[in-house]
Amino acid sequence: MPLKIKSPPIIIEQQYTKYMEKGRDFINDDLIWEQLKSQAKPDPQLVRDLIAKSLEIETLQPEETAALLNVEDPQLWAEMEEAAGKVKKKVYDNRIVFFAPLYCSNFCINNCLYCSFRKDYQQETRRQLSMEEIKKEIEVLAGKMGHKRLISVYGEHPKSDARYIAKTLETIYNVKVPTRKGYGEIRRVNINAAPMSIQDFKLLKEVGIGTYQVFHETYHHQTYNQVHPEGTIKNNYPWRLYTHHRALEAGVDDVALGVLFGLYHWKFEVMGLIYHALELENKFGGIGPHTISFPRLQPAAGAPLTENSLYKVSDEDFKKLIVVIRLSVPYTGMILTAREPASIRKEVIPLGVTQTDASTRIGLGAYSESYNQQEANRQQFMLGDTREMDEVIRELGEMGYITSFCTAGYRCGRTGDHIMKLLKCGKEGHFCKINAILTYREWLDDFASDETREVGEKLIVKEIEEVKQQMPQVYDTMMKYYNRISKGERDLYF
Amino acid sequence: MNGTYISDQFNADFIRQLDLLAEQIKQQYKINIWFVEILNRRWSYIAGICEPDQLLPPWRIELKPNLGLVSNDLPQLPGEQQQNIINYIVSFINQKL
Repeated sequence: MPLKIKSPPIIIEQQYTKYMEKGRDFINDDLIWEQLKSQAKPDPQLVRDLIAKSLEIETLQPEETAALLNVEDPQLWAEMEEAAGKVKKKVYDNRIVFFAPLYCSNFCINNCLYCSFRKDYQQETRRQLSMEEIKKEIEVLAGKMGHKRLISVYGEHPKSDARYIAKTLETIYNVKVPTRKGYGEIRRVNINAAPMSIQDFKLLKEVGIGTYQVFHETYHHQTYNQVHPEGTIKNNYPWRLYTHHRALEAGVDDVALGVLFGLYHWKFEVMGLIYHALELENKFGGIGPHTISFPRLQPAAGAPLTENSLYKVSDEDFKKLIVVIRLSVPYTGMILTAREPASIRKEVIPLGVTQTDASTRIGLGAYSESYNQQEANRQQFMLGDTREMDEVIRELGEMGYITSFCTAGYRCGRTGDHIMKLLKCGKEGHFCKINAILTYREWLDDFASDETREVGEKLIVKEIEEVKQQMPQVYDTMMKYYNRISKGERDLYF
Repeated sequence: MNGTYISDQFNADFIRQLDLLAEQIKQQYKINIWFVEILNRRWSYIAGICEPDQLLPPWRIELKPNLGLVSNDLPQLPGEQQQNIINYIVSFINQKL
């Protein structure tokens, strides 16, 4: 039976037109191409100057990003890759934050040509999780896997409006599960949901939203209109483009950007992201994107564009775009997801990635219903890496990266422009390192396999030693917390 | 838009007064304090000096169900001084709200 739509989401024009200049948004397609052309052969000295600027944690300007995008010399690329890793270490130290996606509802009124949730794809199994089902998902995520941070995902539909989203947040935050030595809980819920009004954002703010994330998919106007068919709400480019503005205006001061790479030329999309980051910084007193995501188009049932796109990004170009984003917006978090296969993930993590996921299930109810095979008609797209968290954490440990489950910042006012300032001056990185150690201890004690624990124990000793050497003034206090956690206390943080 | 946190619960004048209070405490006691709006798990900055000079755990105090105080270095002061500061802040808040 066709779903009866009672009150479709509403676009409120004045909530985005007020930010536009002479009726135009801040993405000028022609200008972007001109900038890319004008920097077609960048001078090596200019590139090295830009690397130096990035290492000072300064956001690059679009023409500077254009220069980096056009570097062809392999030696210069190697220097850029090395610098990208250094920038990440300077801002976030060597921790990688883990999160899990939780798909709550896949009803959708849109018809995006790259997505299995599109309304015309009749074979998709439609479902919306009840609060009881969400609770069961969290019992697995927090109680068996050890996640502390979620990105909750919702299709755009009246069934999954802001009130439903708010209810899911409250439900998630209220679940507490006993573990081996302590308890598990979700401490930060980020949200990936369709653009909404300022009033709706206020509702989400009241219930404690973490970061609001929405991807623009493609910044190229013509492509945007082609892949989001006319007559759908998503076809309205500026409503989506200015949704972060509305979130910030409502007081949700952590927002996240992203592009679906593969819909249009990757160099153009990187430029779009930089323009977007600068627009937010300029309009909101220095608050840029909390994170940037860079998913690549993956096969999706009922979405032939995912197979036929002319703009699919090669692995080589994928690495380049990560490096350029890292150098261009040095303070931002960068999210790599399990869309990518394990081999690629291993290769690109050293290029500046700050967050990733594992044990990922993107089917509705897939964590608690424990099905391990991917089901095309139950998912938005197909994953490239379905490894369990224990294995991924072990691999990262072997590579010298400590997994962090830190959610401290947004629980003590280090949000918005304040977290930005702390990130830019390198102070937040110190907090990152300590909180990584404390949350890694929790996870090793509560969830790690023997094999992973062995790797983890060696790594944590090394990390503690680094704190002792680099931040001796904090060592004693940190160790007091560390010992309390070892005895079963939980959620102690800096 | 200047990046100042926007709150529906607290007006701009009250937020400005919290800023002044944090400045005053900074001058007198050399510590940084900041105020947050409590929104479930999220403690969002609204006013004060959120610049942790020292790498210390944040000390969080719930002043009202929707208003919190955070400081990294307040616990470094002698107990009596800490209490005086908190009492002063609580009475200031009660007077203004």
